[in-house]
Amino acid sequence: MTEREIEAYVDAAALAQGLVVAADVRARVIAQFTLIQAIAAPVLAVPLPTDVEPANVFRP
Amino acid sequence: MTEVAAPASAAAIAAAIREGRTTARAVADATLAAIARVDPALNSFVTLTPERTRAEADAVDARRAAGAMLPPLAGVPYAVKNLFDVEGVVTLAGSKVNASLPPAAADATLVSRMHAAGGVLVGTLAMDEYAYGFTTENSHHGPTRNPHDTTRTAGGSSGGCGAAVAARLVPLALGSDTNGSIRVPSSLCGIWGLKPTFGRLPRTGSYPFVASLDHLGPFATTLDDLALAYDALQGPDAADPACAQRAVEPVGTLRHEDLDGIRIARLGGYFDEPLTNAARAAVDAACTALHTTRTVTLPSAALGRAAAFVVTGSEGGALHLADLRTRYADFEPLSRDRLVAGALMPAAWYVQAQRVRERWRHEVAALFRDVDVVIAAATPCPATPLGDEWLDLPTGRVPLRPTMGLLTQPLSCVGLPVIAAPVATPGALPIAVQVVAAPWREDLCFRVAAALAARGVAASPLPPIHA
Repeated sequence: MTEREIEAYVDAAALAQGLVVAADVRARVIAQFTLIQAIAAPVLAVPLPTDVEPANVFRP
Repeated sequence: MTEVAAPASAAAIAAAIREGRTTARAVADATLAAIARVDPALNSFVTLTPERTRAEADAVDARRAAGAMLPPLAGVPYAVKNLFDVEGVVTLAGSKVNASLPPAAADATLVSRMHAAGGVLVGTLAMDEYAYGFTTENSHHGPTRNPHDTTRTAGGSSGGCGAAVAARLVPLALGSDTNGSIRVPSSLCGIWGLKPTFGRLPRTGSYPFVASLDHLGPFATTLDDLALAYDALQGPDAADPACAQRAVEPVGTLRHEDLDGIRIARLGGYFDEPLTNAARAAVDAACTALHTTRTVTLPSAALGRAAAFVVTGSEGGALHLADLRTRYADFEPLSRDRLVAGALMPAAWYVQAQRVRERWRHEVAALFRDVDVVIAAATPCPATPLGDEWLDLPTGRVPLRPTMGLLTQPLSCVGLPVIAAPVATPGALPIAVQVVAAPWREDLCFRVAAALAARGVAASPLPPIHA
């Protein structure tokens, strides 16, 4: 994601989550999202076969 | 009546009470007095529970007077990170937001188990807000200070546990570890810490952070005390859906066996590259003492850590989303923007991270077919100055607060049992090594840690206030 794409995404996702992000907070949230995005990128790039299920714990 | 000379271990206190050399009440009063004297310089306690402390101590003394057999921790003072429910106390979890909650109606399961084992609760301990941090620089409560150098962090998020135990204010504490929050303060404060296998100890009655990754565990100044506490805490609890329904597997009798047949290796690659000289020296000392010459690598360790980071941000952000919408200003300034950003992550990122975590689990399981225990540093460096924003490592400059758990996070991501074993060099700040085994093999962690202690490498150093 480019810087502008991240900014646009953060604005849209905050709206979708009902979060009103004040102007002075927005830059800091964008900086944090940029960090998360950078850390997540290699995870998102891992090709996985369909039989690898999420590692959730759920016992009905 | 003779008092136990401070600082004493939990085992020594319990023995002195059992043998009538002191009383639980005398120990409790001395503990409360020491906290009043020393803690203003550390800021490790949030709430003291003196009425309960004295009542539990008096009950122990009454049982002894009646000739009853005393349980293993009878009269031993302990404290808990303030995310454990304590009946009658508000479970703040380091936050301002939770201050409006009613007091807990009952004790957390592990607090009940400590009570059953004879433990005497002294109070609750400081932490990063909602356990999201590695430095316990809590803006509401003020920073918790490291007893070895009060200008430095005690680590986090269980920093109050680290500081209070290292300062010998209590011999035992209970904390939580989602990404390293037991092992990081153990390392920076120079004490023993155990993060058991994910699902070993029930989390019932503790304030959650990341349900997929939250673990609870004990801190102590000796390995014997760590084992005593761990054995008292074990057992299934159906009320925690992640808690494995396994019987108690005590380690109390296993600690002095030799290491014959245990295959031990050093973790290289990802776990070696960011180490400062102090951290590498600690790992060297541990491996030399264990006659370990083999180094193994886990190629996906960085991915495992990144997956834990994504899962943490997403689950943590979602947990607090409702309050972030309405009470943003009441959240910790050091972590609230990270929480908001986490809540904005697309669902597909979270699911992918949980799938990568599953694959990482397979890679780790394959390694443990070939070795039994691996050794790595717990933190890349010793305690850093309070207020520092950046960490300069051989691998580059990184933001300090989210990354002090670089070496712990990949391991908790897949729930491995780990003992943080403190390695002290005279005149230097302490640092710990992680003794890591396959899931459910805490016994191996204890055996190898016992060898490190017996061979003079691992011990909890006394901070200057006791020197």
